[in-house]
Amino acid sequence: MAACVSLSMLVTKNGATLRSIRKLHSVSVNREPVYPVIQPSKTAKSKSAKRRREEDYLNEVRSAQTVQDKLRLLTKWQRKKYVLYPQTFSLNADRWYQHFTKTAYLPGLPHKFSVEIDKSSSGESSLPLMSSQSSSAAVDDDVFSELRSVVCNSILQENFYLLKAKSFLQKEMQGFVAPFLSNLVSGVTSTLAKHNPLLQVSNLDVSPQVNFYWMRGEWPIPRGHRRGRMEPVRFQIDDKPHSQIRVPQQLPEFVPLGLEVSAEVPEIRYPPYLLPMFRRQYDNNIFTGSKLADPCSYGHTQFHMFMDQFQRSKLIRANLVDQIEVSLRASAIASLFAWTGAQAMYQGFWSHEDLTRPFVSQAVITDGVYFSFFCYQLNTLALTVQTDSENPRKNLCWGTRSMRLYEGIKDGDVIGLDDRVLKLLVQFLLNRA
Amino acid sequence: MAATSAGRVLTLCRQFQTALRISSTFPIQHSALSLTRFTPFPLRQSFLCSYAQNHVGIAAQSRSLHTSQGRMGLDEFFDIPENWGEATVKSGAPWTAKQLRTKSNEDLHKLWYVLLKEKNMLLTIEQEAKRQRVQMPSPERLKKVERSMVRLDSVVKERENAIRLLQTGQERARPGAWRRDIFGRTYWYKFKEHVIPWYMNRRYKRKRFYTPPFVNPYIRLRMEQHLRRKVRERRAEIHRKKKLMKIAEQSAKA
Amino acid sequence: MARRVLYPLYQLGNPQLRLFRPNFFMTLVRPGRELQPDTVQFRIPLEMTKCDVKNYLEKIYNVPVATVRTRIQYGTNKKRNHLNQRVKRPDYKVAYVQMAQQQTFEFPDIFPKKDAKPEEGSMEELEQKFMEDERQRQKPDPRRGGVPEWFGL
Repeated sequence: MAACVSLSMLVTKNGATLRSIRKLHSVSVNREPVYPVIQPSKTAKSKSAKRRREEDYLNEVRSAQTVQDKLRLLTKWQRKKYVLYPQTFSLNADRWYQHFTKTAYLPGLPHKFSVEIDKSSSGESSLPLMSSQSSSAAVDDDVFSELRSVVCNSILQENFYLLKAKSFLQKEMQGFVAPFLSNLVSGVTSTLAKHNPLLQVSNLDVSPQVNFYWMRGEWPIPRGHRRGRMEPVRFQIDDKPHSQIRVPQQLPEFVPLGLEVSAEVPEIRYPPYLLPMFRRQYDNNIFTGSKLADPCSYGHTQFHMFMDQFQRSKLIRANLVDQIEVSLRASAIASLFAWTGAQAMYQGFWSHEDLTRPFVSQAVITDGVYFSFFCYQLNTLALTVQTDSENPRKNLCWGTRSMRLYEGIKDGDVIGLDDRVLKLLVQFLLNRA
Repeated sequence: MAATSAGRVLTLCRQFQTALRISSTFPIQHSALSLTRFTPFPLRQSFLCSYAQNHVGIAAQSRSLHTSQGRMGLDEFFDIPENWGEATVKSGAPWTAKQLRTKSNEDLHKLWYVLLKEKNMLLTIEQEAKRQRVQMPSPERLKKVERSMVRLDSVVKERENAIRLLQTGQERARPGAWRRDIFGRTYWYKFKEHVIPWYMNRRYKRKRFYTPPFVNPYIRLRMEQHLRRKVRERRAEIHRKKKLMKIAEQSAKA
Repeated sequence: MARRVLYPLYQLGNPQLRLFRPNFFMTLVRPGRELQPDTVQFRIPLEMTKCDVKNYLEKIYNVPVATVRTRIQYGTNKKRNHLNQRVKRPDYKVAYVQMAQQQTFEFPDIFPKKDAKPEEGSMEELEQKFMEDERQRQKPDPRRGGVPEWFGL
């Protein structure tokens, strides 16, 4: 190899005169190299050295023994990062969040659920939920009426049976909706556990912590001694759902991994601080709500409670009616991407070792009365600049508009309980491998 | 003629006024702006009001041109597009206090907002001109609007004073009293509202509005100091004059 | 709301304080960095708050406002005068207003280049004519074909 290098220098110097010699020597080059391969320096201030350092780092992560080591290596470097808040005041945040997470949004639920809805709506009202051909078990009338009574009880418990004092300002959700939601989730899951064996082995976390850290795109550094150099844009989500269900087996994918989806990921040309978003520096965390050793490492369903600040009435008063669905969507995209991404990272996937199978989770977002349902399929984690080009995959998010669960409460009776919402909830919980 | 701007208010009003002064019975002629939905008003009704209505009429007509409704609102931060790029924009004189005194309170209130918008527009143009490093067209408009606003303010204050004097007999809008502080200095203390009565107000009670008797010699000393300084100043002045006279005499001799 | 005005003390439940002659002035400025199309940048007095900006634009200009963000721009004091004292430029507040209802705004070009033609018989026209004549006179004689002046009779 060394001979080859010196020879090429000769060639460039003397031009055509040495070409014949080169042919003679080419035989010897093919033989076993005498010297080791010349590699760029690790410490020099050159482009090749920098490339080598990066390459070394990637190789180190690739060859990490355990997932724990991998995560440690990936989150080791602390720099300033944009913090994404799933529930945000920013206007039109959903398009930005889709861009940050490379998510295409598809209105309506995936084919699997929508088929079931159509069937049940076309069928007689006496049959609230038709059994489908898919794996989800049938729920007959008795069970459904039992579920109805569970839901009604949990609504009345907070709003009628208990004599509650007026809550503090901005704490209404904590006082009324949080206990209602915990009652609802535990009641419905325990009822449905008979019909879905996956739920029997699942874990229910109450107010867990979900973190995710990733890089996407690059941006020149505006000031400082490294001004003008391109730097990857880092993001962190620290989410706190009301509760979540984790299961030991993975949920089936909604669409196959390689399927072409017509929905586009919106492209945002502006820097993230215009959203506005702010940069902070602290520990980079990737966490699904449980430690690595937990056998229930896959996500099933998350339940989110919308905070007081984002109540419908407040948005309407602020003349932002169009932002109600937008903020719900943004919240779902951010929190589901964080959760599903963290699950995939727990299985050892990262941006340079992209997913071999899609990851799926579901979410229900509610403010006590209005419910909206979202499904997320994570197709790719390769979001960094190096891996994003020529990557046709994109993450997918399905979602419904928010639907009213009940109209009101009168004399200890829930008026106008919407069966469709309840059915959707049941379908979500009956989803299994 | 470049259609008017700050002055489009001012000239308009001026012309109306002259028209009214000449003969109130004549139907008012069309002014610089050709107003399509113009209807002559009775004398008592304010021309400003008519201006506002016509302005709204223009807005309503041109609104169909815009895709969005609020664009019209932000357009008011700029001059009318015919004046863009002109070197000078014609404008009338500022409002005088005499003219303003003849207007009703309602008219003055409306005129304030017209002037406010005009000034915002001029400030926007001024800033943009600074940024592009070109000369602002007719910068004297800003001063005219400012003067009008100051005069309007003073006229409204006059009226408020008159009403207050009639109703309560108080000379000042904000009541107060002469008080002496701990060093014996006398000053005008302005009263203000409190949520709690004074005997519960600990911060108020910390303040000392009296002069202890042992301060008296110091008050006297301060007065002495003041008088001395006065005398010294007077003497210095006389001395300076004498010196100047001397120089003048010498120069006259020479 | 307005500057240098003492308002009556507000107690919870009282009617909102009303303002009759606001003396706040807002300057719409061209943004230095590119902003989203629905965002407008203003320079406002330091005393003005976000709520003030929202009310001002909605009530006086009839612009639907979704959110207002503000910051205070420090005016530089780096310059020195002839006595080598620091000269402070005044601070001001910058407001970024996002409009509701999908409205967009783009700062127009309010100083377009118009071909300036001086008025008939004005001083500028005379000056221009004179300059034109002078330029004509300064030109070398085309009949000489580029031969320098010192050459020849």
